[in-house]
Amino acid sequence: MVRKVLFDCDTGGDDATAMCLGVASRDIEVLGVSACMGNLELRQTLRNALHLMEFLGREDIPVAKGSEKPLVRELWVGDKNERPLPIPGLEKLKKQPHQLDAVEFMAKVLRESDTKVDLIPLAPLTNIAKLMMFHPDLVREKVGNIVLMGGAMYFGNVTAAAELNFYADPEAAKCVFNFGMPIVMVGLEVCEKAYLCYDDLEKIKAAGTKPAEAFYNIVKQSLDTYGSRYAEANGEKARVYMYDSITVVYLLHPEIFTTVKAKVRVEANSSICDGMTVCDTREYGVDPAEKTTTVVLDCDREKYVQLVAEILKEAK
Amino acid sequence: MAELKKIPLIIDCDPGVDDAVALFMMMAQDRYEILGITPVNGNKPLENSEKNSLMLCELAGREDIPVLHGAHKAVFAEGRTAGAIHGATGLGGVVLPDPRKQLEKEYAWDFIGRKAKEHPGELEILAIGPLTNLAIALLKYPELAGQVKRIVIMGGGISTGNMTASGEFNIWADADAARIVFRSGIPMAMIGLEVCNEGRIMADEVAALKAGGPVSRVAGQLIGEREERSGGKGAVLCDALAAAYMIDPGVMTEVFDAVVDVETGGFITEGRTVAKRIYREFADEKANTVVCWHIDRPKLAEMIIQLCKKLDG
Repeated sequence: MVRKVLFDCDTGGDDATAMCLGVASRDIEVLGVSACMGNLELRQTLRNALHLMEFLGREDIPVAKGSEKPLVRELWVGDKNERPLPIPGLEKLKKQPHQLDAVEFMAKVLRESDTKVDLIPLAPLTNIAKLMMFHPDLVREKVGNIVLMGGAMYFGNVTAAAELNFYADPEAAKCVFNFGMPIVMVGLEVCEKAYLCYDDLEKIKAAGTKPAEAFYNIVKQSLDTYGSRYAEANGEKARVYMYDSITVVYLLHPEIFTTVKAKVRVEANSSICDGMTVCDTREYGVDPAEKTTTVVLDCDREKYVQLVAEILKEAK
Repeated sequence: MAELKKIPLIIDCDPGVDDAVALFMMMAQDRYEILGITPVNGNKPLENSEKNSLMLCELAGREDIPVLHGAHKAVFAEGRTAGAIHGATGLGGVVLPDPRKQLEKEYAWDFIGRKAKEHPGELEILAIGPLTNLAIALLKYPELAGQVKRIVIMGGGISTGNMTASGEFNIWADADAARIVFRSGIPMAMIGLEVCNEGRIMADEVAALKAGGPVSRVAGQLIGEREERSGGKGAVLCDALAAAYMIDPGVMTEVFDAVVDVETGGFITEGRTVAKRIYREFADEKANTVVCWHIDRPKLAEMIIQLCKKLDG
């Protein structure tokens, strides 16, 4: 069975790696991409998503323009510098955004699909929260799985409490986790287990496809830029995390991951915890029926790398 | 061979089933000299914490240890207790004779301030209740921050609470106090729920305690009541882990450095201990806390059994 998928992204190198896997996999049909601010300003995340689809030769996949700022807060982005993707062709980019905005684009796709569509949110949840607020029945009727990257059960990265996507728009994350649908949360724990290092690069490159080329370039550039920071601090090999890529591998191969069921809620009204995912896994004190989020905590790293290489090879 | 100078120690507690076991362990060891016990409103109201402290000293034959008068409510907020978790009196089903020993007239915070001044740079504190007494001491004697060598606390959780999804009891009961203590600059060690949920005491270990003398039997009953309710998973005995770590840090098999702070507000995070690991993203910051993460469980059980045995003589 081929899964229909919508990506919501703040592209972002790791978002691009997730879309490379989605486009490459013969088990996934990418119905569209929506852009949101997050890692970068919307201007850049939109451009990068258009650029990636053009590079992959998938001009047919619509890219819609989404939220420029969070639901209620001032804009905060991870990086204000120019961050084009390390793939050729930006100067001759022709692909234009879809005429609908992200939320109405996603609604249209859901409405027109005769089967369920999986959502893969990889950005702050601003677009997704709006989709759920504006079109609740459509989401309940047509959305299949929601496999998102964001949050952390133990340690944040932007602050001690919060991971970047939810720090950027805590109200949106709160809205999505309170919507009432099961969610798979790919948080920082599993992302840091599924690291990539220079030794893995050859396997990725050897896949020999366009998505593999983009994936390789992104990981290589990231290793060259950030990889040594971790290595020097810990006396280990250079490594980087392609956080968002894990969502697609999970969707296709959940069996290589370790998970825990939790009632997950997001703090948006605190002194130091805004954006924190509070993962209630307690034996007592919480209704087991409310533990509807699957928190992904660990994975078999070797299998993750192997599956990435295999999926990238499937591209036509 | 000359006897090594013992490290001066104050135990701040709210006995409490697991506090009682921690007190036995500390009264039996000989690395630290216990200068006093400062009870606090916590698991049960202050009166229970005080009376139980007196009775436990007598049971262990340590009438010589002063028991001070502590805080009856949270430092700023109203007092919170743990309801019936520790039974009616705080000591489960254990009934002990009323104490002959008297409570000191001095307040806990004045005693802490005075002892820190007498032992500058040496005094250590084992804090296994809400941190109210210590917060009041820091507010009244700001110089304390430079005088106390270390505070070892049982409290908090990085990924979970127990009273709520975020709040572990000791921190949740007085989050304002906990924040004052964690931000004081005094080096901290934290025994949180992750390691506590790992360091469980099993039925055969309870049986070994029950076969011993009067102190061991009381410990066996206290732990046994919890073990029986655990469905075979073993009794969680949080405070005993903090005592064990003070007596022998080697009982922990993994610890890490972190900057720990406490959420005092929040819709769903009140009382959360928030930890930054000091590597990678936050490498420039200076840790204030050693977080205990994994424990040698059989070693913990053996320590409890042997230390209770020692008190029984």
